[in-house]
Amino acid sequence: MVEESGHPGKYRVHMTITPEYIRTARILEEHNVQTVCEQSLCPNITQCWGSGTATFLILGDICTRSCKFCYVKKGKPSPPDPGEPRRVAEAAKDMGLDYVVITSVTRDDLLDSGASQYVETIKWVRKLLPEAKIEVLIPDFAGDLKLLEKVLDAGPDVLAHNIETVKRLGRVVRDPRASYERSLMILRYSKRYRRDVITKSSILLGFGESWDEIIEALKDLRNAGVDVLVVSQYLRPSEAQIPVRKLYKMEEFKKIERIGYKLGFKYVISHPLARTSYKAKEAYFKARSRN
Amino acid sequence: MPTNIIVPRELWPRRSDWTGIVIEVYKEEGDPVALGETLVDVEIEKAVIAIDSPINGVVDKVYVSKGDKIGPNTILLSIREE
Repeated sequence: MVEESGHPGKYRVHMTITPEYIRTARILEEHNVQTVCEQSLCPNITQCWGSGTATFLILGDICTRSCKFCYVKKGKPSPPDPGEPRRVAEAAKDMGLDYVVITSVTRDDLLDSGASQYVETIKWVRKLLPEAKIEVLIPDFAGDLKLLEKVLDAGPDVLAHNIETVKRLGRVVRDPRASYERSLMILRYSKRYRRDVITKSSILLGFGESWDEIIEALKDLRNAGVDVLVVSQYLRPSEAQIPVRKLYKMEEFKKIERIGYKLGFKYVISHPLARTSYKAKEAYFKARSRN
Repeated sequence: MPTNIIVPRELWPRRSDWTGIVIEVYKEEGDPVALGETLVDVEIEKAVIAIDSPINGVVDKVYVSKGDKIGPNTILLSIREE
C-alpha cells in the first residue's frame, strides 16, 4: 500500500513482515544469492518477497559504474562466481517460481561484460525449471551487439534494458559510459534479432525532466519496438545520490499510462513505486496476449 | 510477557547498514493496539515506512521517540498481547 506521507519527496509504505516474506529471505540467504530488492533498498520488498517473488542480482553486488541515482555499491568487483548461475536456479526452484527475473550490476571490468554469466544463469534456470518464463534486465554490454546476441540466443522470454531518464538528462544522471542512444540501440537490436522476445524498458521521473521530454522518450522507446513500458518515481536512496526534483502525482502517472497505450505499447506500468521487475509476470502475459 | 516490536532484521537483510529517523509514534503506554494498526512511522531516504502491529494488545512500554535514529533490530515498543 502506498500513500502520500505529508513529508516532501516521500511516499508512505506499510511494511509487514509475513511468514512468506521470511521464507523468501531464508531461501535467498541459504543459497547465497543476491537480490536487487535489497541492494536498492526497494520499498516494494515486503510486497514482493511476501508473495514469494524476488529479482535476482548476478555478477556480485558491486557495480563498475556510478549512476548518480543508484544505491548499488560501487567499486572494484570480484571475479564472477562460477557457482552463482546454479545457485540462482536452485533458489528459484525452492521458491517455486514460474517466472524468474534476473538482473546484474554493470561489469565493464570483464571482457564479455558479464554476458556469459547471464547465459549460464538462463541455462541453469531452464534446466531446473523448464516451464518457467525468464526475464533478464541487462546492462548495455558496452554496446557490443555480439554479446547481446549471445544472451538473446540463450532464450530469455523478456529482454529488459532501461533508458532510466530522458535524453537530455542521460548525461547528468547516468554514468558517462552509458548513453540514451546506446540504450535505444540495445532495445531496437534485440527486437530485430529475436522478434518473439518481449522487450521492456523503464524510465524514472523526478530528475527535472519536462513533460515534452518524457513524451519524446516514450516515442523513442516505442520507435525502438519496446513492448512494455515502466514509468516510476525516482526516490533518493541516501544523501549520496542526487536529490528528487519533483514528486509526481498519481494522476500524472495515470496520464502517462494513457499516453503510453496511445503510442502503442502493449503494456504500461506507470506508478510511483513501480520498478522494472514490478509485477513482471503479469506484464509479460498481458504483453504476450497483445502480440 | 510483553512482545517487543523490533525493526525487522529481515528488512533488506543484506543491506543492514540502512538507518532511519522516527517521525511519528502513534501509541503511548497503556494504549490498546489492534493487529495491523500503525505503531511508528520511520523516515528513510526513499520513503516513510509505517511499522504495523503484528498482534492485538496493549502497549506496555515505548522505547523510541520522535527524532530518534533507528536501524535493524532497534526495539520500538513492547505490547502485552490480549
